[in-house]
Amino acid sequence: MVHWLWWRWRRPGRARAVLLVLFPLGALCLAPAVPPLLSALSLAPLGWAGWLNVAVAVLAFTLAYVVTYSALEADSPTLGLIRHLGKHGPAGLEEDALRGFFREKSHVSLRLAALAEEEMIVEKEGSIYLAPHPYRLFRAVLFYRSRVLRIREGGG
Amino acid sequence: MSRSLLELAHTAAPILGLTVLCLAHAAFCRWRRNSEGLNGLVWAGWAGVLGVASVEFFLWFRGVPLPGVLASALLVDFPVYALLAYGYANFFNLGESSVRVRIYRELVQAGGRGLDRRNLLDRYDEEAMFRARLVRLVAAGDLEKTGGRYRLGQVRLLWVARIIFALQRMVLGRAG
Repeated sequence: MVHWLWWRWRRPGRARAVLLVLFPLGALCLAPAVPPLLSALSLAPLGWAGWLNVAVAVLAFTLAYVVTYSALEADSPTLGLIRHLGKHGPAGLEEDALRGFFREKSHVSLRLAALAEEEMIVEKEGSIYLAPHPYRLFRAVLFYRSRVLRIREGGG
Repeated sequence: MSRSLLELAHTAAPILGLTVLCLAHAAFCRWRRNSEGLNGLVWAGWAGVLGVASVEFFLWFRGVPLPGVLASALLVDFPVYALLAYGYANFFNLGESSVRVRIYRELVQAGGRGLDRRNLLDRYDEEAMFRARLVRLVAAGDLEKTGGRYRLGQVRLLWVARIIFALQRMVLGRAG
């Protein structure tokens, strides 16, 4: 609820970082209500292992929501294509019609704007540079792809 | 089995599932020399499910009543694993299809020199992006091409798209 109201008022600059703090903080605020609730339901109180279980569940939900939020912001070209084809049912579309739909938006310009809004890049005199602070999530993605999964450069 | 140990086992189950998922996915990618996108993830996801199930089986084998094991598994362990697996899938997909990540990678490689905006826009040819997506979606079975026309092969991504667009409207006040 806090997230929804806050975003309606003004979306924060580092939205993902805010969400990573907001959800666990919300869970901490709700935590004192759990023992009386369990007592009212005639259930045994949570031990330390039970609270650890709750913490893992909250963390899993928070991470899942934050990655979903990234997809909300980014206007996925792939999902846009899929949704557009879904509207045309079994009849489908010819390649040219799909291409026309895809090109309605300049995806790269939108991505550059999103990177600038997230303060990951700076633009100076027609050139684009990485922002001084490293964006750990993207660096982690690149490291994992190349070193753990051993995937060739690609994507996009 | 003590209550603490039982609760620890239920905490560990989804984490074990995620670990199995990551290992299976890494093995799949290294063996197949590429990721094959969603299909590799699905196989790894099911491997993770087996990881969670193995903990549940172990608990039942150690004398925890079956109704209790099933209730914990269905209400807590598998849903938490599903959330963790979903997070992993999106983490992986960021590198698979995200234009932003690709641009970021090129900026890392360019270092202090940066990249010229016009060259960047020219390099990320919209046609190449379009074709890359068509090839990937057809290879994964999400699109079918017959008689020169494309249609949906599977509806899994359509459901994802519908949910994402609904959430966009709700959270960001816009859709697409």
